[in-house]
Amino acid sequence: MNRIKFQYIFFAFAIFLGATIFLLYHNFLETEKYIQKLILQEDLRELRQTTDNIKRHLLRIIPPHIDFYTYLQTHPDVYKDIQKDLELFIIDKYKFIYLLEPVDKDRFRFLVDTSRNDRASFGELYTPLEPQEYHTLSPHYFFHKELKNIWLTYINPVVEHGKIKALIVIDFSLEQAHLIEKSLKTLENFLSGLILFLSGLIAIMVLFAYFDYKRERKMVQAYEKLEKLNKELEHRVEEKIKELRKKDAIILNQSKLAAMGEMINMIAHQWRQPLNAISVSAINMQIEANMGLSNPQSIEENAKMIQQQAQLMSRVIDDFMDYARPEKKKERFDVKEMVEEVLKMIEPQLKNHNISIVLDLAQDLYIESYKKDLEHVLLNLLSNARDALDECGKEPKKIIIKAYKEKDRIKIEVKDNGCGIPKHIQERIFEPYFTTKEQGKGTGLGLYMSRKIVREKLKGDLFFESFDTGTTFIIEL
Amino acid sequence: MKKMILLFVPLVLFAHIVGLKELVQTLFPLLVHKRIVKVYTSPSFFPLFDDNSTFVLVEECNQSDLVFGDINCSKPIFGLSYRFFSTHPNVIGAFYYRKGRPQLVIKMKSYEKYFGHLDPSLQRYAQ
Ligand SMILES: Nc1ncnc2c1ncn2[C@@H]1O[C@H](COP(=O)(O)OP(=O)(O)OP(=O)(O)O)[C@@H](O)[C@H]1O
Ligand SMILES: [Mg+2]
Repeated sequence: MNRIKFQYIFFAFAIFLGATIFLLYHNFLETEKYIQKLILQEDLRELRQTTDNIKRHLLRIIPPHIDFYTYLQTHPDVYKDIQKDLELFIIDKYKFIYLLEPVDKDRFRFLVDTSRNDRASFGELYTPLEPQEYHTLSPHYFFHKELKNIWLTYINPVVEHGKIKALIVIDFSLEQAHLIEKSLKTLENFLSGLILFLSGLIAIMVLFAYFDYKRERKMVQAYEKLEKLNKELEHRVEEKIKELRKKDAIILNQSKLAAMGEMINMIAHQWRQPLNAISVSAINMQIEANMGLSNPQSIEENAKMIQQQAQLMSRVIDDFMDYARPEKKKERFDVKEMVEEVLKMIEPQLKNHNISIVLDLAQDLYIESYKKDLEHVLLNLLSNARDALDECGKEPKKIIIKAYKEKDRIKIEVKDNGCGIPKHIQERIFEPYFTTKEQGKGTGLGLYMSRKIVREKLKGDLFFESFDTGTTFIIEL
Repeated sequence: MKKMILLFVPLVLFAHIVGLKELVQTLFPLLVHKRIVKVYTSPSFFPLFDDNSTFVLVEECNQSDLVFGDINCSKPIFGLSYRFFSTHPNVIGAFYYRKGRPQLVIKMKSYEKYFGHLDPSLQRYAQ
């Protein structure tokens, strides 16, 4: 955009330059004409003075009422004197000074001629090229077209009673004026050359500016196109993000459902024993009643037993409810305690699966974080380890949970001694919906959600190391 | 047509040196009243008369109709200077420059002696 503005300035400057030069040239031409006119005027004034002087001189010598030809013919001494006198007037600029007398329309007669090498005789007939110019009653001049304007003929007539007695003629050389004219012409040629050169230059400049402008336009257009494309892209990205968010929400929902399923599973596990106990107590009471053996003491025993088990079940529900409630605030807690609480929920189940737990938890490892979320992640890792150990089938099945501090960071490891994660799926396990488990068992959201929680909410990281001797998932906070 | 050209001869002459050739080509037959003119002149002027249809160059001045140049001869002469024109009795005309202007003059007295009547188109040059 700036460049386009610059072009306008440049354009204006070129026009200004052109106009200035043109004005200069015009001015020069005027001045040239003026100088030429001035020179001519000066020459004419000089010619007028010279011829007037000659006229006065002639009129003083030759008496009136007699024509010059007759008088000079009869007075050779006067003729000689006049010739000598006129010779005095000769200067470089005056090529010829002579006296003529008209004979007829075309012809004249020489009276006196001062020329040194082309001297006409007295009374010699003479036909000038422009005879009509000579029949004049007042001083008159004309240029010789045929002599390429290097001569000017000045004629001053000696008139008596309206009749031409003689013509004083001076052929005036314009060479000097022409010399000045020539140098002026040279200057003019130079100037016009300059104008030509400059106009060529301006034309080229304008052409360049035009092409530059066109290129600029193209660039702007391309830029606009790009911008449009960019906007479109932005729009599309936004759309995609919205879509992803929606998907995320769905995933969250699904993972919540999955977690709930897991929870119900665990509750079921933990309820199995108390329910059994209650069932046994109830059967006992029924048998005793049927056999008539029931006595207040045994009823009370059984009732107490049932009550105990019911309380246990209620506590289990409380524990899980607590776990399921969403969490808004960070709290300070002991990592060891947190792990133990999680184990309380899942350990019965693990025992059922014949999995032994080894704990290696550092003392007084306090952290300020979202406890429930961390528990959730840990629970996920533990259930994955459980599934992996089942799948692998190696005995004895063992899960080691470690918690320790390393370089200001708290690490919680969940290590199983399963068969490891196959190499070719290692980079996919954090993808949503990626699972190797049979339909209905795994959703493939566990690790995806766990990593999301660790990275985005807990501001830590979740990664793993896997060999064919087992897999370790590490939470780093 | 030729007469028309003659009227402009001085101008034409001045513009071109070749003009002299045209002048003699037009002028001489008119002066001599002949279609073909026998001319005697000095070798330097031969190129002016190389037109066979108008001129025959003769080797002796006595054989000629007209002598061209300031040459002393008993035949009519067409001179090339005012001095010769004004002094030689056989000169019938001349062509010369005066004050840079070409001058064509015909001396009636001697012309009539040789050729009689002057063509009317040339009357203005007569004296
Ligand atoms: N400890 C482990 N050992 C071997 N493989 C594992 C381990 N943990 C996870 N995996 C592999 O990673 C996959 C993805 O785990 P993820 O927890 O994301 O989904 P899932 O366990 O299959 O399903 P969900 O957890 O939703 O029930 C699993 O299917 C399993 O193949
Ligand atoms: Mg899982």
